[in-house]
Amino acid sequence: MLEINNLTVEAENKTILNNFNLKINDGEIHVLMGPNGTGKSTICKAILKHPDYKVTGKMTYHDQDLLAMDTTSIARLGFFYLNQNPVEIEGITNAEMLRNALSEKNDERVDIFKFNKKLNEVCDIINLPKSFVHRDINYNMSGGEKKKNELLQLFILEPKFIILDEIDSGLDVDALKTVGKALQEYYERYKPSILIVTHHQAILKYFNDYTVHVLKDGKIKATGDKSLATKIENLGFEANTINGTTEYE
Amino acid sequence: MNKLLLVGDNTITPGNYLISYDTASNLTINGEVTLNNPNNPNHDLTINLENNAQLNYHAILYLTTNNNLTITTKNNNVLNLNLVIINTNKNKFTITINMLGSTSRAKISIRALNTDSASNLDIICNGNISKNTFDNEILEDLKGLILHNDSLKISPNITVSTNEVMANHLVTIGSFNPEDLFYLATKGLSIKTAKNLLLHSFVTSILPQELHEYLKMEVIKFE
Repeated sequence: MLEINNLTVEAENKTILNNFNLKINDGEIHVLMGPNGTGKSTICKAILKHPDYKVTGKMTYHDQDLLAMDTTSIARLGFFYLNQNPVEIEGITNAEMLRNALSEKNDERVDIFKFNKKLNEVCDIINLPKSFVHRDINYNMSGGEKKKNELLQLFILEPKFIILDEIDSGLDVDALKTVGKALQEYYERYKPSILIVTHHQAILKYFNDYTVHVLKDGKIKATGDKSLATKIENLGFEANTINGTTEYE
Repeated sequence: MNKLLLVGDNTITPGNYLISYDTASNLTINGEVTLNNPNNPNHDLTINLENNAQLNYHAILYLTTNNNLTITTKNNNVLNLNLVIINTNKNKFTITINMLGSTSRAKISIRALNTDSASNLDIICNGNISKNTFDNEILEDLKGLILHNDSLKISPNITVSTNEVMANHLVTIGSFNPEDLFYLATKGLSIKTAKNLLLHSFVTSILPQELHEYLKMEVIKFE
């Protein structure tokens, strides 16, 4: 379980999140929605201890203090972060990075035959040419290819907690379908916790059950089931009446 | 790849060579030539391209003294110059490209770094395009990586004496990109491994595969 209590996040002397609270049990899917600039991406990066942010408060995962850990240690606990525009790194291939990540995490040499077999299986699942395994990380890839490339890494690293920051941004219909189905497949296989940041419902239709939070001014203003996402899509974030009662300003 | 020991004045015929030299050398290039220099022993090198010659010159330079590389082009030349400079001590490396003829292309790519915090490298990259020439192109792509509190200076100097030339230069000097390090850490890589991978990619990005085995990364000390 991820538990965030009274979390305050600052960057460049500006408070972005103030007394933020969130609890996500194992296997649960939570969705953060909200207008631009309200701190949705900040919370994603803060969980992974991005160096730009000063974070205070309490944040634990299975009672382990995440604020006392560095990014590498948090990733090795099972966290995986995918944002809308992953960096491109020329000169380091996916295979090279993944082999190193697995080897360091498990403290043993990677069995190259098993590793290659799994890479091939994953490429089939996410409809990605096998040549991508040996391409430089996200380098010279389109937006859709980058997302699929990140999913390749997801299936190899097998995280327990996935953070998806606007993964649906910039995807065409076919790419969204591929990404959605791959995430659905991963969820059904491994039942991870997932935190999804999105503006739209398109990616959400691949999941049956999830909790929706509305983030505004750095705080959660409303929480509801999947019907809240529909209301937001119909009424917008500025509407002050949701479901007949004032739930957020 | 043929091995070639350079002594004094040399005329190079078309082919792919692994070169070495113990004294300052002068080369004349005819036809299409690839020179791979895996370990320059700090002696000056002068290269002259004859008309229509093409030269791909790849080098790993473990620099411990001041060094000069001078290349002169004539007409219809293609020059691809890829240099990895790994410097120890306080040194100056001067590259001079003299474009005397017309319709030639020169691309100079450099990746440079110091081996330790006490070292200091000054790179001067001169491109001289002579008057009364036309349709030449020169591109300088020069990058330095700061690993310690060391000093790295790169000066791109392009002197143009004609109206008909395309000349560009790109210079960047910096440390590891924090977003790259964060990204690799989110995949579970330690910062040390992430930096090693990024360092290796920095120096190999402009080298052909056959030169990778000659890289001595252990001479670079950083945390």
